[in-house]
Amino acid sequence: MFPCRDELSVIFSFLPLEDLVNSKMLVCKYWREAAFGNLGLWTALLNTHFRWEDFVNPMFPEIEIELQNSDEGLSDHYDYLEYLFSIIPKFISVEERNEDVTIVQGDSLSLEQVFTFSFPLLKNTLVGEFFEIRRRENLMKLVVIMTSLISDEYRPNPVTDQVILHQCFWDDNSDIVKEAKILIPFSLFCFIILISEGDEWFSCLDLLFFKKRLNCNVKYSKIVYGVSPYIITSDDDSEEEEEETSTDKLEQYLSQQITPFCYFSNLDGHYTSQSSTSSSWEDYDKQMFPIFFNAGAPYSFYEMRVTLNEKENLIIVEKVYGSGYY
Amino acid sequence: MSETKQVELTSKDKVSFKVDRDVILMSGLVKDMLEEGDEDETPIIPIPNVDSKPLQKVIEYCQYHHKEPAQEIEKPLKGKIEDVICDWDKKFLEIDQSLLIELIMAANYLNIKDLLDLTCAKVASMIKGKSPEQIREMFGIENDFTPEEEAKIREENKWCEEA
Repeated sequence: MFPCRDELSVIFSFLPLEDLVNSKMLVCKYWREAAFGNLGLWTALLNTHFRWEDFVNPMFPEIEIELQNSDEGLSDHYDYLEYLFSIIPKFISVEERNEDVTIVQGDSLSLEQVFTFSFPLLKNTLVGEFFEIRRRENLMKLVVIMTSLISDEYRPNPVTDQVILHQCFWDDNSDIVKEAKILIPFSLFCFIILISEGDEWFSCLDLLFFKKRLNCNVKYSKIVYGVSPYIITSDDDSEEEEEETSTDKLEQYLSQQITPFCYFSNLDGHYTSQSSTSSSWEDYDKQMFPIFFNAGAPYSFYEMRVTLNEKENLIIVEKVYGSGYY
Repeated sequence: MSETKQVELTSKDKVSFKVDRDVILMSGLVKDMLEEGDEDETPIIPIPNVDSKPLQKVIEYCQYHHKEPAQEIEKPLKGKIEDVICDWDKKFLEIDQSLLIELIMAANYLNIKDLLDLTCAKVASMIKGKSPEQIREMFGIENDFTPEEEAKIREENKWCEEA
């Protein structure tokens, strides 16, 4: 006789995330399932860092995110959850990208619209060794990426969904940019970034792609990561198919050209301390739509700016839309 | 002097407990049931999923904490649970392991969040930092992984060890 999965989730919520991943998953299959469904990780993440009940998405104020009213909302999704480690990593493809990756530098920029996302933190999130400065940067980076994802029309459901992680790298053998993609639970992606010391998340994510590159014998450098939601359309959802066919369909879907919503690397920001009580960190990630490479064309973009307010236990992300003339 | 309203709870093994209505309102389940019933009667509420021993502990907890609200327990636990709970709770948790597990299930069934948190935090404190083998031994859990499956998980998990 042992507690059910609900009760195990509560027990796990009192454990450090590292302990949950490193040891509890090997106790038995039942514990593994309870600990490493999206639910287990999200419960731990939310209980550890964020006060989601106070979060409002200013882009979609009419839609409650699924994590609010968490107990009931989370339990409803049990059926969707599979063993976390049995579904990662699904290596999809390594393909050439023909696009120019030059970053467009615009002038005459004008900012048009700002949406502010406020992420209230639990009062003890920023306390203790775990959240030394380098890890605070990770928390802020994570919040920026989450904002990018949840502020879009096709935002992922953080409880059930997976995201596509893109690794864009410079192939030293052929001197071209290549891209590899894997499907990874959203919670695991957040988890990797959050538990890492400083930039170590970068090598953790790289490990997920390691096997694939070994197969391709690729020497690489200059890695940039991107993330985009895995969108299942109603057509995909409604058809009941054999497992094999579904897998084919999944791979077919993921092998399509999917544009990451948010690019990031270990070099895309800097950290500055403004005063003893508040700090800020800016992210230079820019999304441009559409991009015109011919001179004299207008373009629009948005950029994410993040500020950590320690006094009020808040992380504030601004999604700033603007336009420029190239 | 007005008499305190009481409720009668009947456990799975048919033992009855009379308890003050105000006290047992800490249970979300009982509260919902009482709202549906007649106010004037002394209601008898069957608790078919909970034996008398854990039910008695639940009542003991409610009798103390309906006047002394429990403090929130930190998540994750940084040290041992004994460092963050009051003396009464420490004494309350001096029970054997099987009763502790029964209490967790009772707290969940009766929807008493503070008691669920307290008992789950106690178990978390017991298993924190322990190896899978130690946990299996502690709770008599069978290892249903094949050696190949276990090796595969350890291999898959290397990324985390390096984090």
